[in-house]
Amino acid sequence: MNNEVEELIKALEKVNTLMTEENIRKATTEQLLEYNEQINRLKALLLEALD
Amino acid sequence: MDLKSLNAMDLSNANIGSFLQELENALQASRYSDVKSAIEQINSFLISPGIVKVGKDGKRMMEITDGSSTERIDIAQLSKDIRDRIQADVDNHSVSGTVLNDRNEILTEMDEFLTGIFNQQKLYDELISRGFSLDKFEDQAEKSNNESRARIQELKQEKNVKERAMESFLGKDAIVQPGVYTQKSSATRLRDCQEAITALSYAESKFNELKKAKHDKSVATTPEDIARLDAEIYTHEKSLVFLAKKIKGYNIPGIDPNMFIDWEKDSKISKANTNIGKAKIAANSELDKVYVELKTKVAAMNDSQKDELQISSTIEAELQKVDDSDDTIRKNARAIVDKYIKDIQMTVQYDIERKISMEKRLIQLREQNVAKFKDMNDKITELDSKSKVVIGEVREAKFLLDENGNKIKVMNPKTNTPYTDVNGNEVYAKTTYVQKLDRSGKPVYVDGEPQYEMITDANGNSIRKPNIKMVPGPGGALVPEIGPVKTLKLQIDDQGHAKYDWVFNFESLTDKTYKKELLTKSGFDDKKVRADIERKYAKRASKRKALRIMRCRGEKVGSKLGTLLFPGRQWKKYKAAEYILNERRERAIKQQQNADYVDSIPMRDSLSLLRLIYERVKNSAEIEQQLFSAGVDQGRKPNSVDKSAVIDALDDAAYEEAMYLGANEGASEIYDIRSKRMEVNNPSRAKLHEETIKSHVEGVQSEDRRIIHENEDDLEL
Repeated sequence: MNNEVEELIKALEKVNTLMTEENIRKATTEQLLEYNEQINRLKALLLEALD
Repeated sequence: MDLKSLNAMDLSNANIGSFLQELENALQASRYSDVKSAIEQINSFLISPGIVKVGKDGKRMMEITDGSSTERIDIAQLSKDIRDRIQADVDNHSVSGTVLNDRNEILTEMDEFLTGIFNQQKLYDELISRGFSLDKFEDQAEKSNNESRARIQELKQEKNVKERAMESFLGKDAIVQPGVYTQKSSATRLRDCQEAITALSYAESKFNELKKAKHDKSVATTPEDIARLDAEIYTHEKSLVFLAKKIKGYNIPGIDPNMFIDWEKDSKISKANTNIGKAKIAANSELDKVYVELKTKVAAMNDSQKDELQISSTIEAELQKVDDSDDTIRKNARAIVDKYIKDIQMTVQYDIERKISMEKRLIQLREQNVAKFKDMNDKITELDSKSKVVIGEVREAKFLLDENGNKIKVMNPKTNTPYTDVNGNEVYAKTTYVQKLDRSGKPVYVDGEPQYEMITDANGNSIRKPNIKMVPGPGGALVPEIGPVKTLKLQIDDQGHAKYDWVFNFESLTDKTYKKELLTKSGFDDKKVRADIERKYAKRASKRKALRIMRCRGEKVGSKLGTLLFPGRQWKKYKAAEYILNERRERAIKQQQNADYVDSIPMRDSLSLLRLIYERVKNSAEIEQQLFSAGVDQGRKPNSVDKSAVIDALDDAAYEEAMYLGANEGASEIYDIRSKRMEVNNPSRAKLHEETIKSHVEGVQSEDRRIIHENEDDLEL
């Protein structure tokens, strides 16, 4: 696996550590909706590469 | 920021939003092949991770044990096979069901996996617990989807513009069948010439090898040598036949196709090098010609044309050198121009297409989000309605103390001054009890007994409960958000006991959200009402009716161009009916009509209708409470409103309005419905009504006909 690929997988795992219950609870409703949309965009980018 | 720096970020005070954005930027900037490798790696974990083994050669293999035998599948090969199958199907202009299923399965699994990684479901859980309704979630998703749809149209236009610009510059390929062109673009001509020159050089070396092998055979002594040389000759001849076919297929002007006929045979070998030399000259001259054509075209372009084609000043400068006398300069210039052509083709064919497919995928993902949200919401509502809540003991109210052990004054949230009792003394906060409510705001009963919970803050106000959104009220204290139907109002007695009671908002009867709320609370949501209206009057005639009404008023309704440019203005059938309903209701209030009641259902006044529904809902809630106190199961939903009667009345209101505005189609139908109802109570009034309808209808019939014929094909609801 080349470095770039390793970094990418690490970054995705980092998102998991960020999206804790506590962080989610602290966020405003608008922020939650924004995160949801950002996650959709990330998923779309990644699924595009798989397709 | 690149991925490495991103991963090195300290996340202790991380802003989630900015991290996600940086990650997206980094992904966009990464090489496509790297992103692809990463996601394929992740994909390989998904395929039964428990039975993925790494073989001696480092390949990941999946073991499938089927009782007696174990099969090993190379995962990378499996992914490749599936992709190849998909590509083959696409090339053959068909996509088999099995292949689509495989592909969709892979994508679905990956989607689930990513949803898990990103903890999207936790987001929804939190939103639902804050009282964020499904309708609101759907609305914001639809808004984003409309933006995506608009973006798709923009990208398609951009692609069209770029394609046209590219075609005018590079020309267009006209393919009769694979490999057979009636017309070639400059890019294809360049590619063909370059490949022909390479193939000709290769053919030259092959001929040399062939000649050598033949010479060696002529002096060979042993049978083994002869056999070996025969094999070599055979291989070279086969290669040359293949090369001949390929080079001939390029149809380069100036290359005589006859030179390729039997060119590997003895009779023609001697002329091979000469012919190849001539062919190379012809191919090079054609190559020169194409480059010069491109150079001339660009020289004749204006700035905006160059911008459209992303022709920078560097490219322009290099184009000037494509026919330079110096070999090195010419070669370098041509290499740069070749790269430019490849890049512009990629941009037009793939980059924009990829952006379009990303927006389409976003729309799909948002719809999946809504489905998931709905699923979670439904489950929670179902659980709550059946909940047997375990409540803490009900204790005696006692004074609240702050962290220093002092009693806390109760503040009036309006004036922000302490409450005083009848004797003028300040009151101090006591713990208090309010009836426990579930997520949808219904009181909770256990075995018929109302349940209370001790919840209070320093001012004796209810603290945040999951189903009630608390917002800053006057004075800064948190108060429950005022709902359209009923509100929790804080009431504080002389002893400082705080208590919340439900108070119905009579004033908001005319509020649109109130109507929606009512319809939701009465056991069905307004979407179903709309769907019922739609279904019942689903014929084109009713669509025309609604459209005609709006056009009569000068409303812009769904022209194709309007829909393209302003997708948010797509009218749907139910919106037309709803629009009509609202107007009818407002007119009824202004005119202060007396409602005609037949079987307790108001005939014309939507306002009265709403009052009626409200009464029924309120009564049903009281009935529910009585039933609960008698120990009936809490799972029964309030559904005492006669749904079909409400729909009929709403239909009536909508189409009565349509009829008054001159819809001639269906007028008799409406008349029948109404007259049957009215005759029961007031025959003379029915007769008068009949005459009014007829004269009104006749008066506008010709105008209607004109509108129908004018707008028949332009119905875009």
